[in-house]
Amino acid sequence: MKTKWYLQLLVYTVIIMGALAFLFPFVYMILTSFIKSAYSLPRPKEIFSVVPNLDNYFLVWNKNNFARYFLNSALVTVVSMVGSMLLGCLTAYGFARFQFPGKELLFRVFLLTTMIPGVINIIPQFLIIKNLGLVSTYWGLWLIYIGGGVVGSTFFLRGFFQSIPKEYEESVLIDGGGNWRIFWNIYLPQSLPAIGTLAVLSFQGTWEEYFTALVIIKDEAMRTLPIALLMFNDKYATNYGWVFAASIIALIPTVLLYIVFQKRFVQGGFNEGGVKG
Amino acid sequence: MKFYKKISIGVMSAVLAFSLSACGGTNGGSASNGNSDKTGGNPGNTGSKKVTIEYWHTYGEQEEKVLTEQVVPKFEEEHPEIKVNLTRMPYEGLKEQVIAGVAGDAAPDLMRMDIIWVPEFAKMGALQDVSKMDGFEEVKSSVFKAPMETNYFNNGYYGVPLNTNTKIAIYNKALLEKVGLKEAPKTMDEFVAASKKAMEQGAKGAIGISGPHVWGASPYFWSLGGALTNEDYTEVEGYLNGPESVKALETIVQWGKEGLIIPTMLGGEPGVWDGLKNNEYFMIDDGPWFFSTLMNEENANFNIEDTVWTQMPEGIGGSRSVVGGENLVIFANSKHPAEAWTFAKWLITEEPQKILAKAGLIPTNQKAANDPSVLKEPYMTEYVKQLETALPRTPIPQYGEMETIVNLAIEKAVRGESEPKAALDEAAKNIESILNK
Repeated sequence: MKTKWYLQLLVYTVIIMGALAFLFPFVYMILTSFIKSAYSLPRPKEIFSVVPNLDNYFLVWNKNNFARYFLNSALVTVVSMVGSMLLGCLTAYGFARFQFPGKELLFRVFLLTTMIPGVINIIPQFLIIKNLGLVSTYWGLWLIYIGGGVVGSTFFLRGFFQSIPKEYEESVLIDGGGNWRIFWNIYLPQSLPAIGTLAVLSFQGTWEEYFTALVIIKDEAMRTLPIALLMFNDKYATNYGWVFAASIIALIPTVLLYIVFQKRFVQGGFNEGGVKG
Repeated sequence: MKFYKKISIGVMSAVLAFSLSACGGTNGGSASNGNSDKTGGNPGNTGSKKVTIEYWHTYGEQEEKVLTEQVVPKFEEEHPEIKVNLTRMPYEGLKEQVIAGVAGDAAPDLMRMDIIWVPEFAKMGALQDVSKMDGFEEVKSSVFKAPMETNYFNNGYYGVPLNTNTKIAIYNKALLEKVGLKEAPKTMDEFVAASKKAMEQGAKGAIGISGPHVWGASPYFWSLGGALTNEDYTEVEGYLNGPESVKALETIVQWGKEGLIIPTMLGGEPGVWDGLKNNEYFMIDDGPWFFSTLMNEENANFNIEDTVWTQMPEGIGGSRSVVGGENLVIFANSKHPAEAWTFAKWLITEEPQKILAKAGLIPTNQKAANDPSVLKEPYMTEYVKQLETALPRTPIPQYGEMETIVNLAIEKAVRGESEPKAALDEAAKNIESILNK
């Protein structure tokens, strides 16, 4: 049956309006980033008559150690993303497939730690990092980021792993493979959509993290990007053109990552048809 | 399932107890640390080894440039035995940063902090009482009294005033002419009458209260005769909700009802400077930072000649404004308190204060503030004059909580959710209960 044209029109109008509503603030932000000396938020008239230019972008790239912090952030984020994914997958595998005493209890304690707000944690965390002698090192930062990331990814992946049919494991065992092979050749490839999603979330979370980074890193040269971003927010007078230009530069890696992993999000169903009946 | 529930509650409370005791423990530890340092004598000064002191600041970009290129090199030249390591801190979450630093024994030697934070950190035991330090009396007599007092806590001084500021009235010149005035109104009555005329002439707002909070509303509240506390800052009941204060807040609420106050107060558009520049707002108030930022900025498309800046209009309470600014504090667990004090003392002498004044920072040093080279900055004279009558926000350790309560009372009243008297009565009661805690 063909949909009536006016119904279709209605649906499209709603969809387009929705898309515009979501896009509008972003477009406004991009246009503001072209305006010089925007110490108050510019008006629509100014916004829509602005000539696109990259002046603010070049300016902020050279201000507040922005370029340096960008690279620092890239290093910190990539290492913690890889670390927390790897450890998270292993831990989730353990919780999903092994039986050991106190397993459920341990898992719940794990979950409990995610429910404590970060601000309460920060002083004990700082003291531990300090006693380990890791203040102002990326090792200290990685320890917290990876440690924090593992809990979330374990929770997320455990359910995913449990949904993978046990019959696959049996086939590996029959062929003489061990647990490592089951993990590496069955679980990981089967879970790519979940892992891809998690990787993006982990990247985004670390890339944007401000508070812990500022507490742990005392050396100005080692600071990360969110700190540079907030440096543009002056106590008294803020140039929004710079803030938005800097924010857009900071956004690019996340957007790129989304584009790269986008296919993974939808490509589920590897295991369909792998098991009889 | 029940079993797990019990266990998880147990674990949660254990975790909480641990984190709380961890904070408490280190707080005590760092305080005693500081004491032993102080009695331990004067490290480094006699030896030939160079001492590095850590200084956290929150200067803006233009100001930081002056600090790193002119001020600090000058100090290091005069004191070759001391090296100053500067770290610019972002303003966001700064208080938590400092608390974490103090608890973890990782605070710097010195910090430039908002005047309103000093009593709170002093009460925490995080700061050194500088009034016992060498040459303090000289320092005290060289600076303005009001900013100095913001460092006072429990019979001691926990910092020195580094720079001060206040807000003054800034009028739009075109609108002033439109309402037939050659110069800005002097008294509150003239001001309100002119504001009404400006609104008739099509202005979008006339009375520049920037927000329903102490910083935004107190200049008007005080000028109209209101008060936050008694003069010793010890009593709130009967002052914050006294008849003069109720009358003052009622007047502000009335202005709001008549549409005289700029829409910015309740979160509307345009922003204060935007409205002023576009001939939409008759008057706003602001501190000196905007002038210095704008005038150091290319293509700021702002012409200072289009505005008239002057004292706050004088009501029955006088021409009042609110004192802002930053103090320089030395942390209790500073490793080099003597060198830090040397630097602090030096920073508020005449010469460095004059250099920083060029970046728009109003000196606290009296000689520097009255120096012709400082006063020739076009906006400086009016600010220095307004500072003579400006009032501090209540310098007590509980001010942070107190401000939240007062802000809520102001907001409730101007939004019409509560009668001014009822709002202030409730606020006074709540503040008394935190003061007596």
